Amino acid sequence: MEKKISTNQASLLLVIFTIALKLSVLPAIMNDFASTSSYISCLIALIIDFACTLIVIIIITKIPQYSFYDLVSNAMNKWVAKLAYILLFVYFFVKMSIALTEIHDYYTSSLFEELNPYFAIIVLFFLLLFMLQKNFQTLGRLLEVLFWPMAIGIGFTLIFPFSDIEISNLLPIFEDGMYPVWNAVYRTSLAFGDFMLLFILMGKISYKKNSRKKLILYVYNAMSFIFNFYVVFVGAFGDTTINQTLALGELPLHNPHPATINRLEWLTVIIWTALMFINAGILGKCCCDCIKNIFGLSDNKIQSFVISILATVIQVFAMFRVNIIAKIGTNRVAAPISIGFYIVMLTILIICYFRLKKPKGITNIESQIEQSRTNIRRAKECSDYSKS
Amino acid sequence: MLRLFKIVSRNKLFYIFAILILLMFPTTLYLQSDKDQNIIITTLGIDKESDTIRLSALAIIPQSGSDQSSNLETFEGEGETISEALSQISNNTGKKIGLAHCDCIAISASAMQDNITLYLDYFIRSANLTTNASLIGTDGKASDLLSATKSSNNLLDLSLRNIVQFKEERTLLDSVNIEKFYRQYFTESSTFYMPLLSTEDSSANNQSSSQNNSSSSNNNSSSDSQGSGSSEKKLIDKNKIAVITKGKFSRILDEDEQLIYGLLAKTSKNMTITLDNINDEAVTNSKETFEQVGKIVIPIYSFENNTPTVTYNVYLNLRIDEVTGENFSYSAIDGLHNFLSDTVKEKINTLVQDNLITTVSKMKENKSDILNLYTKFNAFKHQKWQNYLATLDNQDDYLAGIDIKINLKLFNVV
Repeated sequence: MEKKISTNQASLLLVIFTIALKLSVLPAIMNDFASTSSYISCLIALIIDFACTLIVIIIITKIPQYSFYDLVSNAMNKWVAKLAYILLFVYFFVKMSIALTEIHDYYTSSLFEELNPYFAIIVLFFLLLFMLQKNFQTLGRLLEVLFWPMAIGIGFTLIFPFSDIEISNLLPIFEDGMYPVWNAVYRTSLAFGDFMLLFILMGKISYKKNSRKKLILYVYNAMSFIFNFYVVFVGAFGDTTINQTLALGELPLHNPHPATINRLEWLTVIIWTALMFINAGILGKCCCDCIKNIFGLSDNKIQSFVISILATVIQVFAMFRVNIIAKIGTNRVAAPISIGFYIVMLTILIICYFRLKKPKGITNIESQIEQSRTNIRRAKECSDYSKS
Repeated sequence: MLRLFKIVSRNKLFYIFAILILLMFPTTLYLQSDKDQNIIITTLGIDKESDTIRLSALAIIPQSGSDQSSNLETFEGEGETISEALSQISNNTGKKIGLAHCDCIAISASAMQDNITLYLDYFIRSANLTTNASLIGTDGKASDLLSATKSSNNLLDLSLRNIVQFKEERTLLDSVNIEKFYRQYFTESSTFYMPLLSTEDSSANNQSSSQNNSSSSNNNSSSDSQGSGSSEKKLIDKNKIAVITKGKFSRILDEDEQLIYGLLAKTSKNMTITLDNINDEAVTNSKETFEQVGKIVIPIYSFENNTPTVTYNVYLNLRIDEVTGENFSYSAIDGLHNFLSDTVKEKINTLVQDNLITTVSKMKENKSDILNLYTKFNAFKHQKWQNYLATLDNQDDYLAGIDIKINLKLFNVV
């Protein structure tokens, strides 16, 4: 049985999942649709995302003992659950492909003049294979160690460009009307929907008294950070935002102040690649979890191997071209599919929650905590008895 | 050691690492060092001769010796495009061009007659150029400018970018780089400005040019270190600033305009104001130079009687820098004496207002929106601005109807 992750670990996983895919190519793509109102599009998308995350957090904390599979199986039937997991698998796999492509794109644009794609594919395959064989608790523990240095590093890259922000680059709002803003929200919907991670983490989180508040607070801070990033980015680059395809790397690069530590983008290179690898690992683990629930597999090795192979095969075909992936992800077909997917999953969750028959004796988190204490006490008694 | 190996080998990651090493190691054995394959370029110069682009590249070729300039070498290439010219340099040197450390691009007067986006397009697309290179103009040849930079490196680590950054703190110049150029290029005003440097021949008695000759003689045969003859060049800054409108050279700002634009620029930190014929209790018929210590500029965009009006509220802290003149009294050397008398303030205000009139008239006459007023009004007073534009026969003449005011408040700092 997989070990449970703490609320802190779950919060950090959710934060990394929320931030990772939004700070590289997405600002340029949003600017392409909404021009200098792209930060408004980002704000609208984040508000919708936050509302959905709030709903999911409230539901999963009310039924902490249920995984999503158990919930849907009990409330509906196991075939609906498997179908839901198939949809989840497709969603996480597409996002993982995007993450891996962005990593490669970042390396080729920032670090290496030439990078043999097959070299990158082989290394990525082994790295993925290793990461996917670990559980969420391992990834959570890794984040507990790395999170604050990463957060400080990314936050640091926002400090210098503050003086380069021109308010006139952020105005006027809705210059071309509301359509471009909503169009940007619509077309980039695949990049949002970060609450989907909670569907996988359901039943794996060990809750404490303030768990719900902690999760909500972490998500809120992550989204605030993203919005601030977009404001700084659009404020600094204005109309040329569309040309900055690696947003987090471009900000320190265009730092107008000479720095005593020379160019700052090395800081973002190190932090960003670590963040993206971890995000790819999280997405890959989610895919593994989906396969496990679809096929009822208990052995982690098979699904980790399958996912790693599939991911590398996709990268071979796409040859790490982020423009292809971005075009597919934002086309007029992908957008309604991703929005429809979010709606379907949320609907399933809400319906199953209300249809669920509550098990006897457990009505809220405090009762469950009490139940856990009772179980621990009994286990201790048994262990003392066996020693004697 | 064996014990350590046993501990490490228990981790599966160790085997993955070992496999990768075994796979990659053979290929790396045959790889050449990057420094042997690339030529590190720090500055580029673009000249235009008829339809041909002549590119000069100042590269670092590390050599033993104490002379800084011996580590620098210039290379030249020609072509119809920047890409072609760079390829020629590569062909002649047998190395790939490395622009990762290129922090300055010099553009000659001849090249500035064309739309400079023709030359900068390569750099904005190339992943090779990972810096946001500064742009600098020269009223002569860019190759001469690079030669002068090379010569000037005998004693100090001078780069053109240092000069640009220095000027950015003292004039209206702000982030004179490729990215800012394109940002300005795509606005309605499409006005950019860059510093113009000049070169002149060093004195004939300068025998210490031997270090240039000795360092260049042993190096690549493709090097062409001097632009004309064998005379050394030196950098001269005549304090010129070129205005680039719609990508092409438009004109040079004169001193009146530089004072006003420098005063209104938020980024200029070290202006000086010199006043003649000052007579007050401390001095008689003196020339006083004041140094800017701090400045706050608050522009307010409004519409007065349907006329777009921008009022710059400038709060300027000044400190006396130098006093030269007759009848130097004891109070003139009093460190706490307030040299910013009412007379001086009035003179400064008069100077600013007079210069403002000439600056505004030149701005309107040449249609060079250096203050980026179109973008500002469009951002802060969007609807009224659009209404104003609708009243114009030709929207390019938007500057004609704009009223510009300066409210200057001066404060003395000791």
